Amino acid sequence: MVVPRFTAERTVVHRQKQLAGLAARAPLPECPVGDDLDLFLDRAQSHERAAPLWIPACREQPWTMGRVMIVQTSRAGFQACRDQLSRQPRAGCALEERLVFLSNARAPRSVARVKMPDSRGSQVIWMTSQSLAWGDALIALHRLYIVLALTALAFSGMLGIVGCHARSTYGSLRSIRAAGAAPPAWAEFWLLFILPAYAQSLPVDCRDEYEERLKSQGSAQAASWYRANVYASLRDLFLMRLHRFLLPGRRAR
Amino acid sequence: MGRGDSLGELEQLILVAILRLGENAYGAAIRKELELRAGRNITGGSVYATLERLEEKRYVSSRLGEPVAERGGRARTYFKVEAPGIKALQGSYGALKKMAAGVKILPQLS
Repeated sequence: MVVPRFTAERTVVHRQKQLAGLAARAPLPECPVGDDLDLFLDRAQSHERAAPLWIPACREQPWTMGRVMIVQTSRAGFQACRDQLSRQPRAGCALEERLVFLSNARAPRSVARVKMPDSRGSQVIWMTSQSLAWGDALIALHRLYIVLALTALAFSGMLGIVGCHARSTYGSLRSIRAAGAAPPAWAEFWLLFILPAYAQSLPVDCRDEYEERLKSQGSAQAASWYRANVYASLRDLFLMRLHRFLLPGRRAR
Repeated sequence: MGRGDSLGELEQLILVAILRLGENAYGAAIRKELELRAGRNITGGSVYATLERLEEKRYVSSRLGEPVAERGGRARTYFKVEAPGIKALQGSYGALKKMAAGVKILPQLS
C-alpha cells in the first residue's frame, strides 16, 4: 500500500525538520565516551509526557589545548589507547565513532539519536524524548492507523444509515399504530426495521392474525404469538435483505 | 427439469396452499393453511422468503391488493401459481408417486 509509506515518509521529514530548528541550552552535561555513552543516553530518556520531540542529551567537550590526542575510530582501539596512555598527562585518547541512529534497531519502537554541531561549534547529541516507530515499523503503524480510520469512517457511515432507517421505521410504526389494536411495540418495530421490500405485506398479515387471536385467545396469548412469530421471522427477513443486497440484479417487485 | 428447478418440500406445500386458497392466497392465509392442513408451524418470514424464491423461478406471481388505512396504508399481497409452477409441482408430485408405488409402509398416492 502506497499511502502508509507516503505518510510515514512525511512523518520522518517532519521529525527531521523539527530537529533543524532547535538550539541547545548552554549548560549541558559532558558526553562520556565509549561504552559509558550508551549507558548515559539510556538513562537520559525523558519521562515527561509533555516533553518536546527532541531533547539535548549532552555536549562533547572540545579537546584540551596543549595535549596530544590520539583519535581512535573503534571502541576496542580506544580502550587499548586508554590503557597505554593512562600514565601520560600530556597525551589523551579520543573516540570518533559514528553515532548509531536507533538505540535499539530490533525493537518496534526505539529512541533515535543524532549528533549535531551547536552555535559554539561543539557537537551536541540530541535524542528523541520517547521511543518512536521508525522505518518499516512506522509504515506498519501508519497502515494500522489508516485501517482504523477507514473502519471508523465506515462504521459511523453505517451507523448514520441505520439511524436514518430507524427514524423512518419509527414514523411507519406510528402511522401503523395510530389505528386498530396494538401488538407488542418492540416486536413491531423490529419487524418494520428489518422488513425487505418483497415482504412489505407481512406486517399487515401479522396484524390480521394478531387481531384474530386477540378475539379468540386474549391479549396475553395474542401478544406472545406475535412476538414469537416476529422474532422467529427476523432471521429469514434479514437473509432476504442480505441476498438482495449481495445480488442487486435480482428482480425487485 | 433442471437441478435448480426442483422443488423443496416447503415450496411444494406453499404451491399447494396457494392452489387451495385460490383468489384468497395471501401471506397470513398461506401460513394458516400450512398450519391447519400440514401441521407446519412456519413463520411469516419463512413464508415470504419461500414465496420470493418461487417468484424468482416464475412459479408464482403476485399482485398488491387495496391499501388498508388501519394498516398504515399497507396492502395485502395476493399470490397465484403460474403455469411453470403447476408443471414443476406436477413433476415433483409424479416423481414422489412413482417412488412411493409399491412401498408398503407408505400410503399410496392417487
